Amino acid sequence: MFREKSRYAVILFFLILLFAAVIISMMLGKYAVSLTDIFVWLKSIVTGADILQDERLSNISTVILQIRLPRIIGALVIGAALGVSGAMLQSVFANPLVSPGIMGVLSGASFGAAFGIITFSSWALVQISTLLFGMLALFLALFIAFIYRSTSSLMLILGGMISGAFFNALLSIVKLSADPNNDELASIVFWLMGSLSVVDSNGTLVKAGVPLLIVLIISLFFGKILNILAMSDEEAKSLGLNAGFYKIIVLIISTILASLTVVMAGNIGWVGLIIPHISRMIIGPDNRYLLVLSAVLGSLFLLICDNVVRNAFPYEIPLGIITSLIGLVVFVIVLKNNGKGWR
Amino acid sequence: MIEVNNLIFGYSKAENILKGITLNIGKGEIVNILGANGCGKSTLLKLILGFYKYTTGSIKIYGREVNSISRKELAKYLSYVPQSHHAVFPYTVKDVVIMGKSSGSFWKNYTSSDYEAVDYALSVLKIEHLKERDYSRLSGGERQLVMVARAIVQNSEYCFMDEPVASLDYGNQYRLLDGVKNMAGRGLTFIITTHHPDHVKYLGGRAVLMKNGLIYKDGLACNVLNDTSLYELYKVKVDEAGYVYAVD
Repeated sequence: MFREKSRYAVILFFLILLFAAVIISMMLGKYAVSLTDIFVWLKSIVTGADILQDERLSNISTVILQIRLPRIIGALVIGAALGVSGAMLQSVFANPLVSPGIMGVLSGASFGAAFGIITFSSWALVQISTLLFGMLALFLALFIAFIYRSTSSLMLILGGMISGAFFNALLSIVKLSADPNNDELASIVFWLMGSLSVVDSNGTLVKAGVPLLIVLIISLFFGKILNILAMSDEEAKSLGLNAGFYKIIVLIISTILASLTVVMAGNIGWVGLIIPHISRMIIGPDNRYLLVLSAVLGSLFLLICDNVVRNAFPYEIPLGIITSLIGLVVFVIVLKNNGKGWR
Repeated sequence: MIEVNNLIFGYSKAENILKGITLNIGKGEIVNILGANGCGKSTLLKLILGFYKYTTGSIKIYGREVNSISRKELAKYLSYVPQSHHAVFPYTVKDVVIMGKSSGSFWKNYTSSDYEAVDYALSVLKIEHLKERDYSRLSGGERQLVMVARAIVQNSEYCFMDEPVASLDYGNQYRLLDGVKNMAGRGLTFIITTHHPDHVKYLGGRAVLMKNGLIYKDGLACNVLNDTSLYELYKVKVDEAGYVYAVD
């Protein structure tokens, strides 16, 4: 475990790594772009030179700006959001096995997406439906806990399980009724596996990405509160924190983060579970640092995974498959090293 | 000054745990609360700490009802050492103790004087060597001392401890009691629930004996704790040396 100053150094180190990964991601792809090309392109932007004069430069500009950069930015924002969302939930429930799926949010959002795909023709409406049902799943979970007049972690998790199961059942109905002949079923299945290939359709990157970024930045200020919430409710209260209220605020924030990632890229599993674990191994459980590192590592992980699905196979496979496969292996390793305290 | 007046409380409407408690606690006291399992000791403690809402009777701190005071302000008056505690994540002892300084602002970072307060609390309890250790791997006794250190850092006026020695070995029990004595000497008020009359005698101060949701006796420990009262409370017969020789 690191002391205060070296914790900042660790975060800086991974930020530099992330920057390098971004540059490399710009180079990778079917249209070859070299490091020199990127520098020339950047230089021409800075100096304000007319890119259209040079055909190759103009091609590079198109490839980077319209194809690669949106995906890179998408990966960065979504990875960070999933990492932070997972870290927040694990602290609130004082349970390292919790992830953004636990409150039923991903199930609700997935149902919302599938329902949207068979009902609406407009992609924007599909996305709104995704966000709405993600939030609705959370409120259902909270309502179940509320019936028992409890904000205890157990009641909240039970509420989340019930809510998730409910929306999974609804999702099955939608899948059954989807028409297999006109791509509806295929779109739903593809969406549920998660992909960054449609991250910027209809300007989603701005419409969903900007709110996501704002909520992400706000969430980074919750470190101290999350540390206290990771203790018991009674301790949190005696330390001066209104535990029930802040739990719900944190749940809402992490739900917005998770739902917006589904809006942008479908259901990407495992990132919200393993990234907080790896970050905790590196920098310790103090959320003031853990949240920031989870954001950085989440971005890095998703960016690397997206490069794999884009480039390693003859055709693109859904991102969610790779994050799950890599995530599973990493989780087994992390469990061995990190699970001593709670096994 | 904490004033509890005719407090009646139950977790369900069918049965009241507390059946009319009246109790005043002044600053600088050590108040030991004794009683059989289920007599309402812990409930009373948690009500004063504001963990539950009460509807009948009153609990006032400096003349104001506990339920009407914000959590943040309450934390300035009252701190709490839980019965047993297990951290899931590997926080260092320092990380845990400094949480006592959180109520100043939940959004700003800790200051260097906050960290000095941590060092002071650890030195008072003679556990400086634990500072950088992983809290989740400490023994039960060490964890309990860390919880006391956090209460000290919180710098409240009244410290509530719910059966603090429950999971400690013989030596650690008295190490903890010494820590309490030490802090009481510095002006901190302690309200402690316990099952150990010998600990109460060791600590001194006041003993409040509870039975069936009511206060059965209240006075100086040396006057109140005797064979008759212990028999009333626990149905055990105690000889003059304080040893139990028969159980009913």
